[in-house]
Amino acid sequence: MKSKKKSAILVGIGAIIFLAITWSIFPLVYLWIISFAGLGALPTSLELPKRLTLANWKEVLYAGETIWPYMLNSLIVGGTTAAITLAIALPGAYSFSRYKTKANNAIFTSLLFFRMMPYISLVIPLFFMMEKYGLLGSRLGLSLSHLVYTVPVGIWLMKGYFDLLGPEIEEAALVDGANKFQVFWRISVPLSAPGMAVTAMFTFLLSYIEFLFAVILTRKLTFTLPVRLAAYMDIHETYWRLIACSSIITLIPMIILFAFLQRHLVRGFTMGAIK
Amino acid sequence: MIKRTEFPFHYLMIVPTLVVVGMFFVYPLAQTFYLSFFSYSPIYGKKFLGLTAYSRVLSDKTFIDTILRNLIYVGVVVGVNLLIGMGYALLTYKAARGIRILRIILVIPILFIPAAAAVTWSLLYGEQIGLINHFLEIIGLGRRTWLASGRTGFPAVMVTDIWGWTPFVYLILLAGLQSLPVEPLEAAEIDGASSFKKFWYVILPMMKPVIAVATVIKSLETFRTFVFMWTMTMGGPGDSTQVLSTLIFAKAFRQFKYGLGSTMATIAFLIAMALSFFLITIFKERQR
Repeated sequence: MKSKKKSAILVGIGAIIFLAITWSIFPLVYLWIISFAGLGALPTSLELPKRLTLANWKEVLYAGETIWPYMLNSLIVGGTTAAITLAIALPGAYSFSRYKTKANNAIFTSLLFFRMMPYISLVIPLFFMMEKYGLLGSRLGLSLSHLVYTVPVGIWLMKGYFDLLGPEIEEAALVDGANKFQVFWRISVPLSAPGMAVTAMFTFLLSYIEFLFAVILTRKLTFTLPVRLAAYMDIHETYWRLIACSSIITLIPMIILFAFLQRHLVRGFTMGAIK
Repeated sequence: MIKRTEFPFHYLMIVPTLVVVGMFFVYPLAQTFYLSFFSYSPIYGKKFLGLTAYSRVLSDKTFIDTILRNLIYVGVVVGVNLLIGMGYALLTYKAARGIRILRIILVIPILFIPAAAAVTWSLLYGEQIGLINHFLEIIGLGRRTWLASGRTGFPAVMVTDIWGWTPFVYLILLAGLQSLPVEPLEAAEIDGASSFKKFWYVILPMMKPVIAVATVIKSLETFRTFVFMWTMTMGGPGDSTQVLSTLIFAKAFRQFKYGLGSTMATIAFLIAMALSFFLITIFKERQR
C-alpha cells in the first residue's frame, strides 16, 4: 500500500514538472518554428516542414529593414543610462553608506518610494521637459528619463557594496594622511569594482526592457527594440515571421546579461532586501 | 580646528543624486499635481478648473471601472505569480543534478523583454496562425478571437503577464527558501510531520518576510502595467482591457488632453501610495 501511494505521488510530481516545463518553453519553441516558416505556410499546418526557409532571418539580419539600427539604439541608450547612473550612484551611495546623518537617511529611504511609484504620473511633465530642451526623439532624452528607474536601484545596490567594504582600510588610509576624496577615489571605488559591474549591468537591463518612456520619447529613427517590436503589431499578423525572428534576437543581450548577473538578480530586483 | 576648515564632503557627494531626484521625481510630480487642476490642451489652451477637474474625473464611469479593473489585475496576477512561484520554489529548492537544469528551464520566460513576451503571446493567440487555436481545433472546440473579444481579452493579457513575470517571483522565493535555517525542518521531520504540515507550519511562517517583500514589489510593479495592454489590445475592445497607464497615455498623448491626463495621473499616484501603505501595514501586523 505504502509503496503504491509513493509511486502515485512520484507520477503526480512528474506530471507537474512536465506541465511546468511545457508552460515555460513552448512560446520559445513556437517562435523558433515560425521564424523558419515560408510564405503562405501557416505555422500550425502539417505542410510546414516542406516549406521551411531562411528568408525571414535573411530579411531581419541583413536584407530588408534589419533589426540592427534598433539594437544599436537600445545598446547606446542602455550604455549611456548605465554610465550616468554609475556616475551619480557612486558618490551618492558612498555618502549614504559612510555618513548616516538624518538628512542622508531620509533621502536614501525616499529613493525606495520613488522606485515604487507609477511612472505614468511623471510622464506628462517629462514629455514637456524633453520637448523644451529639444531632447524629444533623441537617445539622450530617453537615457535621461531612464534615470527615473535606474538611479534608485543603482544607489541601493552600490550602498550595499560599500557597506560590505567596511571602514577599516579607509581609516588606515586617513591616518596615513590621505584626504577624504583620495580615500573614496583611490581605495573605495577600486575595491568596489565587482559591485560596480553588477550595478552597471543591472541598470543596463532596466533600460533595455523599458517600454513606457521609450514609446513616448523616441521617434522612428531612435526606436529601441521594445518599441520596434510593438510597432510591428500595428500592422498585425502580416509580419508574424519577422516578429518571431526579431523577438529571438532581443533575447541575446538578455542571455548574456543573465549569465553574468545570475546570483545578483534577486538582490537587484528587490533593491537588496533579499540577498 | 580641523573640523571647522573641513570640506562638507558627504553633502557634496549627494548633490548629483539630489539633482536627479529634483529634476526627474519632485519636479514632474509637482507639475502633474499642478496641471491636474487645469484643463489643458494644445488647441484650447490652459483653463483653471480647480476641484471641478477632480469631480468630473471621479464621476466618469470609464475611469472608475478602469481603477477597479487595474486593482483586479494586480490581485489576480500577483496572486497567481505567488502560487506558481511558490510551487516552483518548493519543487526545486533541493539542489540535485536534474533540478539545476529544471531551474534554468523554469526561468526562461524572464529572458523575454516584456514587449517580446507581448508580441509572442499575440502570435500564440492569433486567429489563424495561433498555436492555441490550433490545439482547440484538434480537440474540436473551434477557433476563437482571443484578444479581440471583450470576454477573453483581459484574461488573455493576464496570462501573458503571469507567464513573463512568474520567474521573477520564483527567484525571490527560491532565494528565501534556500536561506532558511534547516534545524526547524529537521525537527519537524523527526517528529514525523507530513509534507503539507511541514510547509504550512514550518516553511510558510518562516518565509513570511520574503513573501511580503515579493508581494509589495510585484504588486506595485504590476499596478503600473502598460506594455502588455498597449501592445496586445490597445486597451480594447471597447475599454475591456483598459488600465490606468493605458487610459492616461491615451488621454494625454492621443487626445492631447494633458490636464485630464494629469488629474487621472495624480489619482493613480495616490492609489499606488495607498496600495503600498495597505500592503506594508498588513504584513507588519501579520508578523507580530
